Amino acid sequence: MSVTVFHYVFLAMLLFSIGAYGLLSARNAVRMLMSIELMLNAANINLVAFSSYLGSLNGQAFAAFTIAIAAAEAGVGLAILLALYRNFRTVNLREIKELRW
Amino acid sequence: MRAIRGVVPVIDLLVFLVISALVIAGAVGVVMAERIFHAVLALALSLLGVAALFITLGAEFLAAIQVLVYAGGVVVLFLFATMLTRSDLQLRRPKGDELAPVGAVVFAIIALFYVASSGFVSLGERGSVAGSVENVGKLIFDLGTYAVPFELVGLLLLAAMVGAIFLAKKEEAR
Repeated sequence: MSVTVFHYVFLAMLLFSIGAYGLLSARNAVRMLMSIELMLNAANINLVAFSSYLGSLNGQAFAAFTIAIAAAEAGVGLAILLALYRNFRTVNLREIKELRW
Repeated sequence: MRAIRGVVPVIDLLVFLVISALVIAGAVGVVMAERIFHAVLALALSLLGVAALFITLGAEFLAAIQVLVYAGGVVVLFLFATMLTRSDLQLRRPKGDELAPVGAVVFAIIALFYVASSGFVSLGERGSVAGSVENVGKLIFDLGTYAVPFELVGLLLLAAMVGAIFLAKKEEAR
């Protein structure tokens, strides 16, 4: 039995599921952002696995762009978080209720 | 089903299983760790595991980028955010929803069966290319396919940097 693209897709699916659960259940805003990173990584695993499987480098180029976007997202997200913390003195998502439906 | 890098299939499978166990353990640590600091360390483990997965897929360039950007940059950023926000003691995970990860796993298994029945595994057999710096660079610049998006990403990173500095700045400095 050898490793196929199917193994990678299954792993990415598990990783995405764990990340989605973490995103929905997090009380701490830092943990929420980390869960988003997990989900982005799951997408990257899929891109690279199919790139390797199909013998084309396009998926890897896309994954490189995704990594850049994820880094920008983390930077801006954490800056927003610090601004929130300055205003509310907490990062508890259950207590930050401004502009919430 | 074709092996992606089938030199010695069983060893390949063993390596894959060990690495994916690390990735999943790190991800579970991110979600379940009581202290947010431990969650950040678990995230580092998971991201390094993903870099190792990229190497098994022949994407050396992306593996290097993954270690540099994620393990070197993003994790340190999260550590800073954890230490700048007093979040530890009152924000521990609440007890009583230990059953919820089981739901996530069940969801993943259902999705697995759905994907397995859709028959995408019967993709044609093609050779894999090495994702070295040279090859990826040629794809982005020589062929010109991704030259414009590449420059746009640079612009986006600049905008994100300016925005992050503006947001994180102290109020009275404005």
